Amino acid sequence: MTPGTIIAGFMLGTARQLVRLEGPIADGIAATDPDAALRLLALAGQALRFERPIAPARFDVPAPVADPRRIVSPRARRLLRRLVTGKGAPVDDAAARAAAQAMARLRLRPHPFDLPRLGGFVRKFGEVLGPAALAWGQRGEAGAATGGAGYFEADELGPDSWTLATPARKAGYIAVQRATDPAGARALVEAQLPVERADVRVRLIEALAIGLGPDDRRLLESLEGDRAPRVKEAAERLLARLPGTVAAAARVGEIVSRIATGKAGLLRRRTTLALQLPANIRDHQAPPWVAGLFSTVGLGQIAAALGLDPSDMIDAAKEDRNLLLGLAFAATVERRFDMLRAICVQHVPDAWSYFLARGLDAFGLVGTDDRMAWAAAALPPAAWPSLAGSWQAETLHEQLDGPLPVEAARGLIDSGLWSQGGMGDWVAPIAALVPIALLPALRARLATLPAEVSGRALLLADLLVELDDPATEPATEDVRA
Amino acid sequence: MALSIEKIEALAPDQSSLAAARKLLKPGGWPTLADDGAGLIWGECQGSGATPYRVAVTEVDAGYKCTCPSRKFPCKHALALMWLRTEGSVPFVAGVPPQWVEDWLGRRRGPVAAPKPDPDAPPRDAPSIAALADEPQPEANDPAMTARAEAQRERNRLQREALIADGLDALDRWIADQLERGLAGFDQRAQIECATLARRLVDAKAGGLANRVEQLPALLFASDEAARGRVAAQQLGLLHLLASAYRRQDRLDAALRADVRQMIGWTVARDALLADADALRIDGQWIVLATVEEVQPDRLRRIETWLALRDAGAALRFAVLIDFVPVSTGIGGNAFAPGEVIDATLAFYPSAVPLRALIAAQRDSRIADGDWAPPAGGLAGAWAGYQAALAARPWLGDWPIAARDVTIRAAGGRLFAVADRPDGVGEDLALPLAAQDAELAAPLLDAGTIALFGLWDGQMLKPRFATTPLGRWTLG
Repeated sequence: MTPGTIIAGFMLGTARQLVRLEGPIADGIAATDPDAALRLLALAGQALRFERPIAPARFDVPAPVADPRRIVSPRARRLLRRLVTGKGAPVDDAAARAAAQAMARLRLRPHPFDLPRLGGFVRKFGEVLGPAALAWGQRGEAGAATGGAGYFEADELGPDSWTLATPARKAGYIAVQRATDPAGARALVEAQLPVERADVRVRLIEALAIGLGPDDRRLLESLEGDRAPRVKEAAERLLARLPGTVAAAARVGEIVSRIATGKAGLLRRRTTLALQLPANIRDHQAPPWVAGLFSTVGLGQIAAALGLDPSDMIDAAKEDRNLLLGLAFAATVERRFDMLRAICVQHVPDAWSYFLARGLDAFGLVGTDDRMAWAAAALPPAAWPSLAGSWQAETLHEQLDGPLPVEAARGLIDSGLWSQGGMGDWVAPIAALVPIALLPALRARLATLPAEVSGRALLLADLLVELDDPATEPATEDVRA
Repeated sequence: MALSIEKIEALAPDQSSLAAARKLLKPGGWPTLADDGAGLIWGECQGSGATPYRVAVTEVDAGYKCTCPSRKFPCKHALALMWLRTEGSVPFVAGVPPQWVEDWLGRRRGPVAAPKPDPDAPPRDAPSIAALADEPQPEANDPAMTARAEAQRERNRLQREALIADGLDALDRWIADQLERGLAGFDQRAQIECATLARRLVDAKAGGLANRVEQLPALLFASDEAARGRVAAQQLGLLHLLASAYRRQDRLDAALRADVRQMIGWTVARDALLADADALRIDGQWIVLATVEEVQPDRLRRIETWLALRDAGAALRFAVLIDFVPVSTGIGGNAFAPGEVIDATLAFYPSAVPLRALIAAQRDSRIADGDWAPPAGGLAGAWAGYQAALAARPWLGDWPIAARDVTIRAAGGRLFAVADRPDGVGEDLALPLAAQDAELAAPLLDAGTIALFGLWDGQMLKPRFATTPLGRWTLG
C-alpha cells in the first residue's frame, strides 16, 4: 500500500470502506487501536509530503519575441508605474498617452517584469511600446499572433510583411510610403483592398491623402462601387480634392449655390458673402452641417468658382461666422494653413473645437507634419480661453497624437487659463500637450497650483524628462512602486 | 524653519504622546539616525515588533511619515525623532536618503501644518514637555506581589493546558467523523465544518490550531479540484499529528517541544526571547528576499519578512520575521523591501528547524549592491534541504527554496521552476508555481537561466525573488 493508495482509500469514508492496515506505513498500528485510522492518515499524508511533484512529460517551446528597443531606466520604471498603476490612476488618459508616445519616439520599451503590472496601459498602447509589449498585451486575444514571428517594430515593416501588421500600422506604413513613393504605395493599397474588411479599407484609402494627386483618380473612382458605404465616402472625400473630377465639381457647385453675394458700404462698395443654411438646420446645428459640406473641397476651388482671391473671399465673409468656419475647413483641406491662421486669428478663434468635433482625419490630416501645421495655424493664443473642459484637452491630445508645436504650447502656458479657478482635471491633459522643451515653463505654472491638482502633471513631467535623458542607463534592477 | 520644542509640543496630539515619545529617546533604540544635510532626517526605531519602524521628517515644515500602526498623528516615533534632532545630543549620520524616504517625498502632498484648533471643542491642556518632569515614577517591585502574580500565572497555565487537552480530543473526534463521512466531498462542507471546529479550538485556547483549521477551506479552493481530496487528507493528518505530538510533548526534545507548543498557540514573548541566553543568535548581513502579507481569520494582518544570510558560504541560512498588526488600524505594507540588506543580529525562536526570528540588534540597512544568488547546489540540492527540514520538523509550513540554474517553463497552462540541464545530466525536478503568481511570474519565461527564491508550501512554489540577466525580479 503506497501513501497514495492509502489516501485514496479515505475518499469514500471509513463507514463504507474499512481501513486496511497493510504495508510499511501501517507497521506498528494495531488493528485494535481506536485511533488507527487517524494515525494511518497522518503517516500517509506525511509520506506524501516527501514525494517529488510529477514533472510534465513535455514543456512548451514558444518562439521568443525579438525586441530591439532599450528598456527604460530604473527611475523611469518607478515613475511610469506610479503614473499608470497608482491608486485611481487612469491607464488611457492624455498623460498615459503622452508617456507611451515619448517611449515610442525614443525607442524605449517597458521593462519585461513590469508588463503584468502595467496591464491596462500595455493593452491600450501596446502598438507603440514595442513588439514585446504588444505581444504581452494581446496574450489570449482572438487573432493574436502565435509565437514571436508575428511581432515586430513598425519600421521593420516592408513590402512583404506590412500586410501582417495591425490595421493602424498598415495605414501608418502606407502613409510613410506615400511621402516618398506615392505610386508604389497606391499599388500596394490596390492589391490589398480586396482582402481587407471595410474598416481597414477605409484606413488605407485615407492614407492616400498624403501625396494625393491626379494619378490616384483611377483607383478612387473604381471604389465608388464598393459594397461598404464608408469606403465609398472615403473615396469621394479624396476625389473631391482632385481638381477636374466630377465629384469635386459637384461639391463646389453645391457650396457656391448656397453662398449669397451682396454689396455693403456707402462710399466704397465691398463684396459680402453669406451662407444660406437649409431651412431645417438650426443655428446650433450649423457647424456639423458646414463641416460635412466644406470638408471635401479646397479653398482655392471655392474662390475660383466665386471669382475672388482667397484673402478677399475671407474678408467678404467676415460677417458670417458659419461661412468663415466653412472656409477654415476648406483651407485645411487644401493645406492653406496661412489662410487658416488668418481666419482663426482675426475672426473665429474657437474654430479648432469644430475641427475636433468632426475629427482631424475627416480633413485629410493623417500625418504628423500635417497635424502639427494645423495646430500651429488653428491654435493661436486667442484660442485657449475657449477651452471648455478637460475632455477637450484630452480630445486635442488624442487627435494630434502628440504634444503641440512649441509656439502653440507657449500660448497655452501663457494663457489666462491658469488663473481661473477649478482647473482640477484639466491640468494633466494640458501637461500632456506641452512639448519637452517647454516643461520648465510648465513647471513654473504648476507650482502655483495646489498639490492635489498638479500632482499627476508633475509626475508626467518628471517621467518625460527622465525618458528623454540620454545619460540614464537602462534598467537592470528591480524597483518597487 | 528648524524644529523646536515648541513646534513639537504644538504638533503632539496629546500629553500621552509626548510621554510615549520620551521613552523612545534612548539612542540604543534607534539603529539608524541620519540626515541629508538639507533639512531631511530619517531613522529606524526598534518597536515591539520583529522589524523596526521607519520614520522620516522634513525639518522645514515638520512633515512626517512613520510605518507604525498608530492612529495618532504624529505618532510617538515621529515626535521622538524630532525631539532627538532638536536636543542635538545624539549624532545624525550624514547620508543619502534611502529609497523608502524618496518614495515618501515623491508622494507628499505639500506642507503639513499643526492642526487648527476646533473653536467648538472644550478647552484642553496643551501638551507640554516640561510637564513630563512632574509625572510619578512606577513603584519598585514588591516581592509578595510578584509571588502572587507568578502563582496566578501558573494557575492560568494549568487551566489552559486542561482546556487544550479537551480541545485536542474534540479535534480528533472531528477528524474521525470526517474520515467516516469520506474526504471526497470534504471541500464542499469544509467552510461550515471548519468554522465550527475553529470556534471550539478558540474556546480551548488553542489559537494556533484554530487559525490552521479556519484557513483550511481557502487552502482547498486554491488547489486544483482533482487534488483537493489529497490536500484535505494531508492537512487533516497533520492536525492529528500535532495533537498527538502535543499530548506526548514530554517525550520530545526541547526544540521540538517548543515547536509543537507554538503550533498549538503558545507564544514566546519578545522580551523573553531576547533574555534567553540559549537562544540561537546569528550575526551578519541579511538580505530581504520577500515580504508576504496575509489577513488571518482572527483579523490580524500577518506580515512576514523573509531573509537570507549573505555570503554564508556553502550553507544557506534563512530567517523569517513575523509581525502582527490589527486589520482595523488600516496599516499595511512592510518596513523592508526586497533587495535591502540589514546588518543585524537575529535571535531565533526555539525550534527543531530554527526559522522564525526577530531583530535583536541592528546596525544598518541599505540597498543591496549587486545580485544575490544562493550557493551552488541547484534545485535538487534545495529539494534535499526541504526534505531534511521536513524530517526534523514534521509540521513544516512554508519552506524557503533557493537555487541557481533554474529556468521557468510552461506546460499545460501552468508554470514550473525547472532545474536547468543543458547537457541533460542530472535529475528531473520541476516544481509547479502557484497559480495565483503565474501572471506576475510569466515574464520569467523569457528571462533565461535564473537564481530563484520561493516558498514551497508542500504543493506549489510561490516565487518571490529572482536574480536574472534582466535584473532583479520580485513578486511584491
